[in-house]
Amino acid sequence: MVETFIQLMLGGVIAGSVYALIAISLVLIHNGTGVVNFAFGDQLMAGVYVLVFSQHFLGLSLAPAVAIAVVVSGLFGLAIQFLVMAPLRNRPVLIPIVATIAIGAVLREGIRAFMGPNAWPVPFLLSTSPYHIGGVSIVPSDLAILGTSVIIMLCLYAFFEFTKYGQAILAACANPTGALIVGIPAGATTTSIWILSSMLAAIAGIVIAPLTTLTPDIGLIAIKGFAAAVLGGFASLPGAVVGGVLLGIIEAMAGYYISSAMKDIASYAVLVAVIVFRPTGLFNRASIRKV
Amino acid sequence: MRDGLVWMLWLAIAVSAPFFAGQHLLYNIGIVATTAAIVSGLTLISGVGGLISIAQSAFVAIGCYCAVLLNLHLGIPMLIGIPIAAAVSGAVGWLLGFLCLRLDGHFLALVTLAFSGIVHYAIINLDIAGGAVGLAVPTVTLFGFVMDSPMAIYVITVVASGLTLWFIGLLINSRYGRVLRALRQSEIAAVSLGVDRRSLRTMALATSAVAGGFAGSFQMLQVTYLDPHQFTIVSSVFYIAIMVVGGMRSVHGAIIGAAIFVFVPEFLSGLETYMAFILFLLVTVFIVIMPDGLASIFSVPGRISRWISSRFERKNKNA
Amino acid sequence: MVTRRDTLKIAGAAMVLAAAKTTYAAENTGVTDDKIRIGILGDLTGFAAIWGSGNLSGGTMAFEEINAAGGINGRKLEYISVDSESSAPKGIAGFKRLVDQEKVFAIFGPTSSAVGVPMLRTMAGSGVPIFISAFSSPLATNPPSKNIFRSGTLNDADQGKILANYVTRISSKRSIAIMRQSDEYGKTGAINVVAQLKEIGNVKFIEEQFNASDTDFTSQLLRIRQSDADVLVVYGYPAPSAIVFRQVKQLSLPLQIVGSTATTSRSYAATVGKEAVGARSMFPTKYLPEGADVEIVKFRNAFEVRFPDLARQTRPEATDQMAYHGAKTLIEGLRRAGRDLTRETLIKALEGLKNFETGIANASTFGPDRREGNRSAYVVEVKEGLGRMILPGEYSAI
Repeated sequence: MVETFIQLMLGGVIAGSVYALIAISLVLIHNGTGVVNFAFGDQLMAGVYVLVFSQHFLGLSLAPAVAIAVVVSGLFGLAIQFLVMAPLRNRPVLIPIVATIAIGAVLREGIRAFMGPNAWPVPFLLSTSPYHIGGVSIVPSDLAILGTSVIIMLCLYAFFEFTKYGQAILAACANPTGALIVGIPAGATTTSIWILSSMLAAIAGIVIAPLTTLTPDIGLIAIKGFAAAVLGGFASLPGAVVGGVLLGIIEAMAGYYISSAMKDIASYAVLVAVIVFRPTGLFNRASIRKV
Repeated sequence: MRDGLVWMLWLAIAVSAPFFAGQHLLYNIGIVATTAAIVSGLTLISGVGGLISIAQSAFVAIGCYCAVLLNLHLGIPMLIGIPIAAAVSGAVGWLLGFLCLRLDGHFLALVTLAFSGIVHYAIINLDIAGGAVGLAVPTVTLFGFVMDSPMAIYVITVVASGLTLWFIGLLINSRYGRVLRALRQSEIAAVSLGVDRRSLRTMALATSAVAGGFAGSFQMLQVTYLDPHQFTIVSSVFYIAIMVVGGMRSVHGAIIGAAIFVFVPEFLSGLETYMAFILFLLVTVFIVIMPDGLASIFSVPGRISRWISSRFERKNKNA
Repeated sequence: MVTRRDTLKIAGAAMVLAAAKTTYAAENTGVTDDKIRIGILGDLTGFAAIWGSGNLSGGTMAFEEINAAGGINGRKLEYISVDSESSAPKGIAGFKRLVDQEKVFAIFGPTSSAVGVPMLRTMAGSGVPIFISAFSSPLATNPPSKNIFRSGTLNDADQGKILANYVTRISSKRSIAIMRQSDEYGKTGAINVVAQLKEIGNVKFIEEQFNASDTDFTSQLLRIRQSDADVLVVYGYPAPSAIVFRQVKQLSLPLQIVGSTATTSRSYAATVGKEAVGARSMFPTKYLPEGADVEIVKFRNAFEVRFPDLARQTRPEATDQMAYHGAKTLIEGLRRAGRDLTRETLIKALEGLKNFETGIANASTFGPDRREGNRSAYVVEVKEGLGRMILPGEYSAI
């Protein structure tokens, strides 16, 4: 029984780190630019397809293919900022949001047409053979997902806490006008956030795709990342990680102890309850904006 | 005055279509009408009210399933069941608004997203409603006649959507609509003038739910089958896209947006598997050059010259 | 002076007048002295494009080949492709476009249950001969509609029945676990598996469900571990099924996996990884698209020449193969209908097909009350090195 519980927790935490990887970037973009990026799931998918393309059609080995995928994805983020977000910056927020929906569809349908609707195999970064420890099986390739999301988390934390550049971005997010006055250009911050989050999309995709199977519709998983971000308050990066892991655990527990049919309803109901009763997320002190 | 002219144009198309259009075009015009009526609910809550609702397809689902289940299990005729179903959908919308609109309007997007997910998974597991397999929609009878010819369905659905669009249009231009707009443009000012923000927005959400449930039920008469796959978070998001592409400030935008997503894919069908790629590329370009929606097409030349002059000014400033 | 009320009155009267107007389709619409117009309807974009693009490529190839060989009874085939965009309203609109505007004689498609099932009422009412090669909802042919035929694919009712028979036979404990997708595809399949297990009697079973976009299946598999099941049926799309296949091995569950036909794409085993070895799946024919059978090799070579951009996506797949087989069967019907081609004679000719072989997929048999061409399946197993092979034995649902 204890083994079952631990195994469930492990499965939940792994699925949760998939959600967390996505939630981190969604929160990053939202905090930095005010936009909820509906294209993120598709950017993630496209990043992996760049990797597959480099491997299968350009004949590159894994490491350079990964590098190309991350760079191309970053450039795509730059393009989004310059071609779409910058011209729309003074518009009601719904318009850039819908633009991201359209960009996501461009990526998804473009890749479906060019790379085909069928699944592509993606190489695992670590072994898929499990270790059995006290009746619990632990799979290295799954731990890679957990590990990556912890590492990304720590890197971002270090970046924002200890580098001048990161501090500048944080300042610009908190108070764009103030930042402008002290000489931090707002345009440069949003540009760097789009590049950074797009590179994260490719990294997240490359880690997740071997597990989830690469198809053009893999980006749908971003809806779960979105839910995780909400659970974490949609404000802080640590909140996003905790929200993701929590969502994974809730799903696993509900799936086992209630029923697999109720799994999603249960997790969405928790989500609604959190928003209604603790609108700033589970982990922030209540500070409801009052007029 | 121009608004009236545009209405006349829509009316003229809807009325003359049965005489010049073949069955295929007629069906498409019917789909544009019901889709636009569904989206007009969003125009009220999002375009005018400034709140984001990702629940429109959930409201459509509630309307459709209520109407069909009332018919199958209680024998209530479709045309009586649909208004009841729309009212149920509205009540759910009101409850949703009541629960989360006491907070900052931002939370509506999040709650409605989760709500869409719950409704989808609930339908999938509700065997009384056909579950994942879905349900065939019963035919409509009017005074004992079965109305299942394409023409009869066209007339019924277009009249119902026309009424919905017209009602939402009136609402947007009424005092109520103006207060809602004021709330969007300056929340603090409106509230300090004594506007009850919460009840106003809750009513807007309920109204959008009624529009979705009502027009959605009529769309089901065109589609003839309820498949849970039609009611996902993705479809809710798609309705938002239709609204923005057409123009989110008036119901005309909803009509234009719906028409784009019905007719442009057919126009591009020669592209075969690359059609959707090009379609959404065009949509993206559209949004960037015409962020106010296609309904704003007449003001394009002015915008271009303004854009050029602003670029020019900035260059001078930098230099 | 015309008031607004008058405008509305006139509008109302006009619409009532129009409602009385009806159109009739002729028996030989789309057939001329030297041409037969065929509509190809399928999902080329959106989530169901896997089947629609196969329908288009397989159909196109068969139609081009027959035209190159001189056509059918002195007539060339002219085909028009319409995209149903993985959406039910678009499917109905596309159907009306083909019938009403393009005036086709017959239609090859639709290609997914999500689009095809909502279209059934429209299709059955039109009288236009419909030939389906791709989707698997049993509702398409049961109850049978006079003008709707299907070949090649195994429908989910037959597949459920065959799966239940097969897993009961290989389960030494007579205890079966079922993992099914939560949507229409998995639900229809599981209903039929369960119904047949109950019919067989004295078999225990446990049923769990998952969503197509799920990533972790630990909770379902741990529930299954509590039962004493020794065979696992996986009824779902390739992406989630691949994770299930892998996690079963990683959790060391002592289960023989038997997947539905959706788990048989050419790259499927590679997407699962080495954990796929030993897993079995249903397959609607004994000819694998990568196999060495004479007709298959001819087909594959011709396909790779005709569609180089698809060949680089590891095509032809089973979907291309089924479509090519279906189109050839439809062509045979057109040929047998003779020079005197009408919708009625085509339907009669198709009904006359008994065990019609193409060497590409299972033979098709139709009859006055039979609209389902293929009602049997084979089992394919993944070997060491991730190659696959058809196991001996044909399993029939009749």
